[in-house]
Amino acid sequence: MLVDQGGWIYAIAFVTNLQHFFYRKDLFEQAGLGVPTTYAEVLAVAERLRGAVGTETPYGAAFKVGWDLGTEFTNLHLAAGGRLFEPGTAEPVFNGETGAATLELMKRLLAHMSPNAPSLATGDVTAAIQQGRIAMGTLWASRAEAMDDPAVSEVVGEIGFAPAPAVLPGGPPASTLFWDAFVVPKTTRADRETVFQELMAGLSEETVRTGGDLADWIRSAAVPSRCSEAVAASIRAETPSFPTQPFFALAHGVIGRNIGDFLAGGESAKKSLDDAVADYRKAAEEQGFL
Amino acid sequence: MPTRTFPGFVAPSLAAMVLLIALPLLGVGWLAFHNAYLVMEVVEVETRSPPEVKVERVPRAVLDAEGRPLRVWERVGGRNFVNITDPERAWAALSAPRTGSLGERLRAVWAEPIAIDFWGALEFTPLYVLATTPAILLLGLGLALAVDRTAGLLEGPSIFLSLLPFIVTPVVGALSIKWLFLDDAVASVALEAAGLGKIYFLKNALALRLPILLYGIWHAAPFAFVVFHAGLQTLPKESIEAALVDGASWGQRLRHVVLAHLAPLVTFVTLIHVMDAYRVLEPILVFSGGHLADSLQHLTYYILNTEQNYFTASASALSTIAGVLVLLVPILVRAWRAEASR
Repeated sequence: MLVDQGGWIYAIAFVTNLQHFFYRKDLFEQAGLGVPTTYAEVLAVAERLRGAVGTETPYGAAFKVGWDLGTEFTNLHLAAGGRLFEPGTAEPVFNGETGAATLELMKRLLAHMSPNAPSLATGDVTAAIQQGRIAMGTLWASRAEAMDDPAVSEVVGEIGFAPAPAVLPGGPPASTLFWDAFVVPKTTRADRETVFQELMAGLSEETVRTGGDLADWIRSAAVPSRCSEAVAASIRAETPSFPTQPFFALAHGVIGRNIGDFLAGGESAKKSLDDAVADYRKAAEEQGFL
Repeated sequence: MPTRTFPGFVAPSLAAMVLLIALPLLGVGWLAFHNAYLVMEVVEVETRSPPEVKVERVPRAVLDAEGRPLRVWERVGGRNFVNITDPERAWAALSAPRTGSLGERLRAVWAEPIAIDFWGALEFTPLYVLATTPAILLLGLGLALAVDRTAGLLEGPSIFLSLLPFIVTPVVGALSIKWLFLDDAVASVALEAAGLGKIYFLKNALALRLPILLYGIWHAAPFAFVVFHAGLQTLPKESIEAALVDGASWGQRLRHVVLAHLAPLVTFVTLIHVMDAYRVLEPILVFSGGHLADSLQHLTYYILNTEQNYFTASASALSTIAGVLVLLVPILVRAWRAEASR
């Protein structure tokens, strides 16, 4: 897909990735549980599944303080109808009531996660599902294929995938769409025509038709694998794209750094978010966004 | 050596030091007192990107006559330093009115300022230095004495094994220690089997800091070991024999002969380790991501990596160097006095 802004084409998007819901089909079936479509249902299911996999904490998500935690907040906050900035400006507004409610939800989820969760990143959660230590989780679609790899997984064929739960009933999945794109930089010393032809050969119809297990391709000719269905469903359910404003990186960073203090129990949700806003303002002013 | 040979020998390394250390340091010094940013304007554009086409108001760099982004440069004095240390918020956090019991108030006086990035990093970094330095000195000395006693064939392999943690790349070493302490990992399962119950090492500040310090000791002890081991090889046998003839006990020989001989090396190892430990980065990155245990170097890394602000990152790096100097001064003064009294 050609990516353009104001009519100026600057990239060719070719794969997507987003976080969606992973769950143990066998355990859900045994307990007679449906796939949760909201986080309220996730909390209820977590209660029911307590002890099902020999743990008191059946839920998992990448809550490692920093990039991962900032991303989780962004996903949940946007799905709750929250805004990060005043539209069209770099003015931060994520420390309002929706922000605080999002943090409270994260704390309730944390109660169903390993006590180590604030130090566990995507790789650790992937392993927890593969080793059968947790019964469900929200995780990157790019990790789905490895659930069926017998070399690293003890739950081959047992994991089902669904769009991320919503925060508001009937609302969009609490997830954001990432996409990777090719860009040929102006300064490249290679022959631009050859580079372009190489890239196109790599994205040939045959590659995307037979390589459904390699990536979630952005091409109509792609044949989705078992693991890609949930990605397609997430896009149909209007998962928003990950914010791309240049100042969002600053907000994402300070949120990821600050809200761990609330989750650890040291301070209020409001205080954590106010601290994040104060840090953001400083960083955004230095770079001329505010 | 003829006088003219000496400059010839040191010139290459001197040139390398100027080129690779002094000049970049000057550059960092310059950056720390400047700032630059792009002039932005908000424009309404139609964007086509996955998954949708949308019309939105986005900030865009203002271009100059030649189509290059317009960048403003300014000299900011100490503003970058003020921004990273945030004295205003730190003071407000320190002096905020408090209620509750004395314990609660004391806890708040401590906890609230260290919720600010710089002061939080300044809490754990010196703690890391102070906790690991004596431990690696003791462990290094113990290892050196033990290896020194293993004669013949065993000596080579035992030196190699002792050095291994120092050779392993820090990120890899930190990850392998972290993996021991995760849920259902080797160390956690072993401790549970030993009847200590389920321990979550990454759960709270105390539990999280323990494996970080453990890593720091595990990683740096071989450095102390290898220096002390080399020092022991130069220990004159005659002094030990003389002490034995005088009827000195093992403890007396250790203290008055061996340690007296190694004293300059103890200073050397302390100096190098303090410099290294104050710049701790990898275990913070791996274990905590800065949560509940942060370091100044990690803060610089965060500013470089996430904010991509080379100006405040330079200020942050310079303040780390300043911290190292503050810690080194007492050690250097002590070493200088010891040298002078000889």
